[in-house]
Amino acid sequence: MSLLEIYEISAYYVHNNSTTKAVDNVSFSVEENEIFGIAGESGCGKSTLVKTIYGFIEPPLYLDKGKIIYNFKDSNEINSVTKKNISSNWWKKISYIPQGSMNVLNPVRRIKKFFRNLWKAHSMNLSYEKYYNLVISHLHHLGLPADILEYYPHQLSGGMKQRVVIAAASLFHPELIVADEPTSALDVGVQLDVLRLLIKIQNEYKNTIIIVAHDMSVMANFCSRIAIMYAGNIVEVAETKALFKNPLHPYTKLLIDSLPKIGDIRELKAIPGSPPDLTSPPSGCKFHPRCHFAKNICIKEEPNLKKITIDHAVACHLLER
Amino acid sequence: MNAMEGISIKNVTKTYSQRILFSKKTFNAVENVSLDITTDPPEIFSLVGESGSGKSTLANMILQLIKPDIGEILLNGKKINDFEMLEFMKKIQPIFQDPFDSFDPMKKTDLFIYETVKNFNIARNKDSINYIIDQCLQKVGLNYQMIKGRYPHEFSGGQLQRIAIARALVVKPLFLVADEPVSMLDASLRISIVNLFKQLKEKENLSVLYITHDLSTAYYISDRIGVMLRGNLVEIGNAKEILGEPLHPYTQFLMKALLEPDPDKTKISLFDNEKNEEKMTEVSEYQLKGCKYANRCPNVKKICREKNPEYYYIKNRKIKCFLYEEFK
Amino acid sequence: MNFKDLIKKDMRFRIGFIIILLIFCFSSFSFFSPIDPFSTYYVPVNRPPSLDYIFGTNSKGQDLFWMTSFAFRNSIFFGLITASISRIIALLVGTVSGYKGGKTDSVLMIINDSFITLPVLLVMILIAMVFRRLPFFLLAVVLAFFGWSWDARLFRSQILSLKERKLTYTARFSGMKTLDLIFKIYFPHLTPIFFSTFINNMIWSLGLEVTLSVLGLTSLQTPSIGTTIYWANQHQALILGVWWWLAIPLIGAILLFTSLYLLIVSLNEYIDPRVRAQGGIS
Repeated sequence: MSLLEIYEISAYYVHNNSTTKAVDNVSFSVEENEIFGIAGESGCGKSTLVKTIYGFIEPPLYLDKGKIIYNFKDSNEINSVTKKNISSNWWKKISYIPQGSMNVLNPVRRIKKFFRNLWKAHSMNLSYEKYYNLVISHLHHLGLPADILEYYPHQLSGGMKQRVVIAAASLFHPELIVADEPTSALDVGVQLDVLRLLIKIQNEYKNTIIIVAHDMSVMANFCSRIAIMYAGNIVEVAETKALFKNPLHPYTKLLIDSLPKIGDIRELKAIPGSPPDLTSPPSGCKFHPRCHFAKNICIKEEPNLKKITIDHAVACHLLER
Repeated sequence: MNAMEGISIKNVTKTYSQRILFSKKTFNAVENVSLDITTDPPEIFSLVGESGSGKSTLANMILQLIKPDIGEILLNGKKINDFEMLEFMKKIQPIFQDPFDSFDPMKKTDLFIYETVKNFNIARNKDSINYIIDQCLQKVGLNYQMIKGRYPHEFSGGQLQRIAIARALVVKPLFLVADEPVSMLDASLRISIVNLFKQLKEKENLSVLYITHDLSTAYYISDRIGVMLRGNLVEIGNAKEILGEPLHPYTQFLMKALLEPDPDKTKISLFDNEKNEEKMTEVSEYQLKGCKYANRCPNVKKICREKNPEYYYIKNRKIKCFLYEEFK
Repeated sequence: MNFKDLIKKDMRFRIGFIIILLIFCFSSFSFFSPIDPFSTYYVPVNRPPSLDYIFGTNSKGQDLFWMTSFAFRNSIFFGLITASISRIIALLVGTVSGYKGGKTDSVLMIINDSFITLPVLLVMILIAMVFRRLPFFLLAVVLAFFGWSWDARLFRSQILSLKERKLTYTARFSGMKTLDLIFKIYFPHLTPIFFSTFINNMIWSLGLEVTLSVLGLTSLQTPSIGTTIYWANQHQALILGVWWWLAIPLIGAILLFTSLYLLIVSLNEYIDPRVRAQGGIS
């Protein structure tokens, strides 16, 4: 039984009387003890998708249809994504590290206060003293200096702030941590530190991390499985090595081919064209206007995500027999 | 001596002071940097470094947005502040990091291109102006029909950045100062802009100062590269050589930490035993008396903490590190 | 600034706008008035509102319908004059100060802050007493010279932030000259604040007009909201039971101020770029 089962989720934004379908009929599952990546260009819907997984659905974002089943340990009820029950699991069973989260730390309050506010909001019958000790031991465990609690956010570097947020998100050992672009604004050395921290957490607690990023290098180094999103659809899901060595979807192929590598001096080609306007997306397969191999069926029918091998699924008419 | 065709930065230093409560700390955002970039033949020079390295400060000094405290910058042998502003801007043009900030959201995108054509007297009547605008847009893979009458928010980041480049091309500049031009774009879109720079160097004889923290794209398009750390230029030379075989410990660190889009080359486990001691505040690293990397360098010696190293020449490059002292 | 959007979507703006429009229409009737506003005792005194005299008459024998129309017209002009002149001064000072920076900025801001600290009401009372019943609209002009300082700082900070944005550098490298930059590029960004502070300033100056008039310090023959109240008090309207003489200007003033406030509140929310990006408060 998978940790997370997502069935036909669709979510849309309403803006100025027009509707943008950010996530369109997405289905996949995420297992326990794995690092799962969701990659794609800006605007492909990955951030919206993880917000939906976390249950953070507020206007102008609306859930159209679909179901998410969470199979957490020690819980008898099967939660599904309605505001009421999933939010009670926030921070304890499922944690969310949003984009730019290092900036949510209140600049005029010490880090200690940040953790205290967390306790107030999610006090689980734990006395403040016990909670505080838990925080100290957790920080120690993660290799972060305990005196960080006395600092103000502006005294810390971007990377350190990000690690504080990650420490907070993993404090109660949630089974699922969702991180949206955790390393985007960070320098290369710091990026490594943050990713190492996440891997350390995953190694220790054997939980699942879902990471959203547009940087395929991060994905290659960090994830065990990757889903590629395009214009609100998942177009390919595979194990990392399989995805990079043998990409099946035309978009994934072009994407992997366009990545510069040290030592690689051949001419790289960008993906021709640009992503579609999601207020009036193309018919059939949303990638067909940019696809070299598009056939008639691609214009008429939307392809479904189908398993080609046990670990590799693609949504493309070309690969269906 | 013949005046060098291109930009010549000579011993430039820029000092800032930061007031923390009652103490006033000064630090050099750029410290004694000397660097030449030729425009004949054109070259793409990458200036790389992490945040706080001083690369943007240096770019702003080249563009005359701020003035160096020590040193001078020459263009074709003449001091840049001796140029008439319009004359100067005809030779050097900027590209900034955020294309949406580079344009006025309340104005149509073609306004600035139109202004450039008009103010530099490239063309007078309406038809010639439209023609020039179309030509420049075609050089970046677009055309006037595509952008006419549209506002910046109607474009994607990649398209808008292209339009910004088209505007810069109107005056047929010698030199483009591109400050992190692709950092705000998705990794998958960067290649198209960076390919464009390569193309423009060949077709338009344009030199580019490409400032970035992304070493992969720097490797891909640069002829030469300079690595900056806390205001100091620590290694400079041929790009493929330096990135293929980095000699300065800081460059080595950057290359080691660079993640590749190749699952066979994962690096995260490599660092498990290493501790990357991060300084809590940057300013303290600026204040170091000797080499700015002394606190983090695995090969640090006593002299590194006392004196800032000079440049040593080895293998066709300049390195600012005592490890290579013998090569003086 | 999308006017149509505001009218359609924001109920407060719609209501405020309609009321203001009605008041403006009403005050424009004064242009067609058969009666000279300075004449007195041409109708029977103290008649309550009726079909003959829609707003009734007052103790000075004047038809309150026409008088009120004149009153609102004059008061509104007063507000408009002060707001316009003070906007121009504020814009000038703020722009020069923000753009030039350095010593010019320091000097201008010292002057600016001195004006902010002045207790305007007391100064105006002093001026009114010293100059004995200044002509009505001249008073409006004088007031304008006290009403610019707060907003000059607002314009200045807008200019300061625009100066740092990359679009300024793009404009420079497009060869644009300073004046072009300020008028063509910067000023359109200042329009929302311009209008919002305009209305704010109008409210402020109308309030001062009423206060000074009620104190008897303005040109009392000129009909205005404040002078109407003054005369009503002088003739002890309430005691005499001529309640309509006070009630009508007061209700009218309340409507005027409220509608102006509604306009400002919705404008200010609209100015917030986050709200604008969402397409309005829906």
